[in-house]
Amino acid sequence: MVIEIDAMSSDPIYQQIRLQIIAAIASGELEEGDQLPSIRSLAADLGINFHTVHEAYGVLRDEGYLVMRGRAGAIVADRTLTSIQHRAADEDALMSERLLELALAHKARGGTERDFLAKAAQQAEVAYKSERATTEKPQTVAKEDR
Amino acid sequence: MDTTIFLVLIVVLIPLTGVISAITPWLMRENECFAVTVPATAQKDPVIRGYKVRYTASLLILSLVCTVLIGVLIANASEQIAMIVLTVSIFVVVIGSFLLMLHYRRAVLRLKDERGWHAQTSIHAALVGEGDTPRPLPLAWEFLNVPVIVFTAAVSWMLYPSMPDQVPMHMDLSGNITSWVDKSPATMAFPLLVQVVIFVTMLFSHYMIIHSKKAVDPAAPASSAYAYGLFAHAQSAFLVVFGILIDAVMVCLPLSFANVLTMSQSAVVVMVASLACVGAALVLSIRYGQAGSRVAGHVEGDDSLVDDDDAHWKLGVFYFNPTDASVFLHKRFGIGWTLNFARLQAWLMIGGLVLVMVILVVASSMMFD
Repeated sequence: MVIEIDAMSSDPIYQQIRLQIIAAIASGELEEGDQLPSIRSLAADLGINFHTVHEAYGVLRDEGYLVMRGRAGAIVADRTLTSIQHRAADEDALMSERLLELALAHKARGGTERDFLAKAAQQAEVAYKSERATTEKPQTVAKEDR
Repeated sequence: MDTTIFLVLIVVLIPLTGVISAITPWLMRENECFAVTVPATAQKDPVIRGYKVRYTASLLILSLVCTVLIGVLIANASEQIAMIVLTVSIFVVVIGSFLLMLHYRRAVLRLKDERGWHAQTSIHAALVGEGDTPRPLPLAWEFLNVPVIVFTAAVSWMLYPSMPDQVPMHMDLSGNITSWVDKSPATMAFPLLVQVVIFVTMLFSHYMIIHSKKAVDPAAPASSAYAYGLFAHAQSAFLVVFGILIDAVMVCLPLSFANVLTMSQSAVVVMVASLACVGAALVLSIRYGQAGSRVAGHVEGDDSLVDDDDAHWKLGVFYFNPTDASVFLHKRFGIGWTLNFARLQAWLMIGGLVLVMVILVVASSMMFD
């Protein structure tokens, strides 16, 4: 996979890396057990600080996507591992919270439940149907209507 | 006869070095010109092309003048003058190419401002988990130098009894021996010391290639990473093959000590090996280009810049970027790699290499005291 960061973007670089690795795991581009480069070598290739990649890998590990392998780097976590399943449950709980926040915000803006579900379904379709990396911006209805 | 060949070989070295310098701007990556970040489309800009043509023409003329001058001097004047002019010529070509680069770098920077080539983003890309990208040869290949050094030591050991009490060390351009040294184990160690220094230098350079930043163009990440992989692989293979070749010709020294070879025959062998080395470097440069620029597929783009790191390149050639974790990276002008001078490791490496050179000089001066 290709990781692409924009050092001038307002999004923190570690978040850009994190989102792209999650997207690559979701799309199947990165599979369980796949080796990621060492922190130092990825930082060197991207021309960024060692600590930035360290932060991205650390967050991905905490979220259960990666397992650290010392100097060798990191590997994509095996989903059947109990520790990973435990973390996955935490992440699921977090996702439910965020979904609730989003639904409440949508309702506060006067949106209907149907409309919210339709939009959620559309983004889910983007994530599940596409064979390629889903690092692109989320699809918007406006873009398709034009 | 041998000395004539030797002289011809020396004279050939100048235009060869000149040609390598002269074609440099044409071998760089599309998004760089005279060590300035430019859009890939700028390479078609008539002004940019004009700068490159003038740079090449100037250097070709300069090296031609030097070559003719040395040829005439070697044929007519004294050896000392010819050798001084030879050394000065190499110096002039190297310094001349650097000053010319700086001149056109300023011109390209001005043009960049005029044309409004400015980056609004700073996009960097890296390839992750792609096992089929070509890689440099493993460092272990360099250890093939060890048997060569052992072989030279064995030859010195076996020929030692048959060597005269004084062995030749230096000759003039006519092949007359000008300096002799006493035969001693220290004298025998001299070629071995040179081999060890070559071995260490190759080891360092090879390590540098393996641990360098991998050049990936965000506009064409997959093809540029593949091209860079081919380039790094070829360069590492070059180091292994020619490091061993140069180490192997060192065996000529004990052979000439024992009069198996004459001093001038040895000199011819060494010169042929050196020329083969420079020739192969030239062929590789043209075949692959800097960082694989000549094997990378061409991607159509507009004249927008996605990244501009001019600020980190002092005088266009010295990279100083404290926020970049890389210690080694590809050069912006020239073929090969350079250091990130903002990293402590870079200075430690330089210190280590300087130390090796100092040890060589001190050791050899002690040997011939």
